[in-house]
Amino acid sequence: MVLGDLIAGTFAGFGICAVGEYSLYQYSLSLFLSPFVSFSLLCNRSF
Amino acid sequence: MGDAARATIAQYGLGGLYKGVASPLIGMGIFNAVQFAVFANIKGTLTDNGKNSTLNRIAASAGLTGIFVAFVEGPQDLFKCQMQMQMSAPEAKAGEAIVGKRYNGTLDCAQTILRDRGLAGPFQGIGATIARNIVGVTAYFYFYEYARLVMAGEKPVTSLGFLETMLAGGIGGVGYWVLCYPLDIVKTAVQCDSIYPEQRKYKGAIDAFSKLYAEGGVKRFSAGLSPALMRSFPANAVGFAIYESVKSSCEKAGLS
Repeated sequence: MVLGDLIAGTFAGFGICAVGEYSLYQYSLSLFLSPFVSFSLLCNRSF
Repeated sequence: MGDAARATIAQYGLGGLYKGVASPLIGMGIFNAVQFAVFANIKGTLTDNGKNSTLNRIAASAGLTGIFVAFVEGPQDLFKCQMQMQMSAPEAKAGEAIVGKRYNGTLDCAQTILRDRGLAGPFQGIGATIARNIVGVTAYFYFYEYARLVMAGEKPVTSLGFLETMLAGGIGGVGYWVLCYPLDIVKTAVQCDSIYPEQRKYKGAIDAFSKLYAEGGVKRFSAGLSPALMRSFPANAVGFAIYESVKSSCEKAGLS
């Protein structure tokens, strides 16, 4: 699965960079996601 | 932060928030492509393509991945450190000697290091990078896989939803920084040191560790951990979720 992993890893890198490198986007996303992540953890379910 | 964002948007529009995004985007894309592909392949070999997928074997796969990717990540980090050092260095006033090297961009930095220090130049601090990665990358994939196993319970991990994968990814990212942060401080100190041995503050990673400890004790190795964690959770939550989604799509499309 080399090609699939390379493609998926590249897109993962884009995502990590987009969220991790840019403060405004990072904090707004973090604030937006926190309630969903917490709720998912509490309910132990996915949406 | 709000003022800075408003000023940037007013001057450059929404695109201004993403100014200079291309270079790190490409760097992170290439680095993560290598990291995820190497991990998937080593894991495939060590776990007999998932038939014997224990957490110990996953940890071993991750540790080996960390060693391998250090040779990709090390030079990238060195160039970044050297560029950041020159940006933070005070400008020389008229008549003063310029302290340290001045580069005209990352490419010039890489070319200068190669020209002046040879092929070994880009690998300044490679020992510290390998040590950091063995701990960090092992924690990264171990915590991610462990969180997925706990959330999946009796079900296969592939049945997990997008948000559960995000949560596991965030946990992996936090695990990475919590465990490897002190080693990252040492690695960064070595890589931010001069590229010329005669001008260096540290003789090596162990010397850097001793001097940093003398400077600020144990606290010196946790300075800046909180922002790293705040950034790491959402970034890796998104990263792992994208990885699993795209990988699943690639498998369905027969890309291998």
